[in-house]
Amino acid sequence: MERKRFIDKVAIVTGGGSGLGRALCYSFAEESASVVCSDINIDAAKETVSGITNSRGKAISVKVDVSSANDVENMAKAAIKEYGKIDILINNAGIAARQGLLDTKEETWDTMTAVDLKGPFLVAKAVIPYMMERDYGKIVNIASVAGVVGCVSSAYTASKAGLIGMTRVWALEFAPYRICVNSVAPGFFATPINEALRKSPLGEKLAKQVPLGFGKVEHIVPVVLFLSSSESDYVTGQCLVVDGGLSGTRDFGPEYWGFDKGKK
Amino acid sequence: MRLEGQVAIVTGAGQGIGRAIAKTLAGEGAAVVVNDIDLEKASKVAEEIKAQGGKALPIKADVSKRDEVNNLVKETLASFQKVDILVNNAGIAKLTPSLELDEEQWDSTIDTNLKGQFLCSQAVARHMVEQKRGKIINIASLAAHIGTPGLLAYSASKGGVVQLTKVLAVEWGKHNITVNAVSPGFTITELVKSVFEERPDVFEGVDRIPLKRPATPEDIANTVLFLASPESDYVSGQVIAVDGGTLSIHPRMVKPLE
Repeated sequence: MERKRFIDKVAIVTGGGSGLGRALCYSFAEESASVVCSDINIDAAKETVSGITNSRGKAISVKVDVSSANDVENMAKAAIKEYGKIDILINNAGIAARQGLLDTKEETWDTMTAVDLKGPFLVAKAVIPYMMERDYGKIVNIASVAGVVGCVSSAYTASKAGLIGMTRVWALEFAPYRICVNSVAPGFFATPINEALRKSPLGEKLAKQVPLGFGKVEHIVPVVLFLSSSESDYVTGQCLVVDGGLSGTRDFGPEYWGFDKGKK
Repeated sequence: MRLEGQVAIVTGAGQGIGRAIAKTLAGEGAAVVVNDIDLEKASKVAEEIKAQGGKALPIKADVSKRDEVNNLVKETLASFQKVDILVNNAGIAKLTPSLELDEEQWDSTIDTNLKGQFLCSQAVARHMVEQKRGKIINIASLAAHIGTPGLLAYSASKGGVVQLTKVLAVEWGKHNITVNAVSPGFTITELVKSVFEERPDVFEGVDRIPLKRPATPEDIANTVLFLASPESDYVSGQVIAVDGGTLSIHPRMVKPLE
């Protein structure tokens, strides 16, 4: 697709050093955006940036721990210093772990909510004033299907559900400044981290519960780009679940569908 | 061209949002079947598309009639050999206090808005299952999410559309068919104008919409295009409100802080 939807636009992607964040940085740059790639791992962020600049795109890297107000303010300032404005913010940085409530230590709760929930709060607070100045902005918060249905862990689900809630408040609060705020909630995705799980018998069972099968990063990127582009100028306060139909309802399996037809 | 070589059916495309959807899909290279119950209107939209260099075929059908729907699909296949995209857009609405709503209006509203989407989806999906690919986009409404006074039958039909969307997404996912819905916010169309021409006293204006403007038919069409394109291949069973933030408003209408 040879489209250039982000000519003269400046996009910040947090957690841009790997996975979805890196794929988003590449895609924004391909469509001509100037990219601010932030990551707590500066080497990873730099690698993303070289990937972009090697193909003549524009990008800078910034080391940022999104749970640090100081880091986050520096990131916004770096973006302004380099590119003069911020049009698009993707709150992508996040951490996750499967864990039962009774096994969750207070420290784990604090760390996870600091990155996954307080992080987007701090980042938005630092970036939105620059968007308000110019009466324009697009914010996409990367939530999770765990914020819509209960799964993964208390701290993760609480953070992601909170992020979806903040999305709605910001949509309302900053609509007068033409800032659109939406969230994207990915479902079950094939990543290097869950490779062993996916290849196990349990993984095969799980895959069958997703109508369209496990997702890929390539499935999420265009959805985020859509919400960052002028094509979605009247969409705000929404949570777009990208889960291959997982959370829509429940497939009880072939026995259920065939029940009234008697024996197979 | 994001839909090069694809074939789309848009129901109720003779005016309003349907017309904008048909023109947008055609503008991205799709051959579009412009369906409407009013053939004259459908033909006019088809001519507009052709004048812009697009491919279009007007077909008259009442979506609430099984035979007409089957014929719509048959004629589409005869002309274009396949259907990749179905946009269930045809719908009717009339403001009526619920105590005065007669059975006929209830029936005709449910038949067109809900049964019509069922009939069209089933007829088209039979073909999509064979080709192992398809995109169905159902037009719902904010009335599916919040109670709108005077729109009882309409709201019930659109609430049904949301659930129809979810069931079909799960049932047909294994055939690589995605099914999603779009809930337009307040959009200035012929239908909406006719509703409020009759009862201008109940119209509160657009001030309460966070983005402070009504939707244009093109706003809705752009989201439908997204759901019709490969960009949304992993999105299924979803409802996207294109509403300028309306659904995010606090029910007690707290004003944004200045």
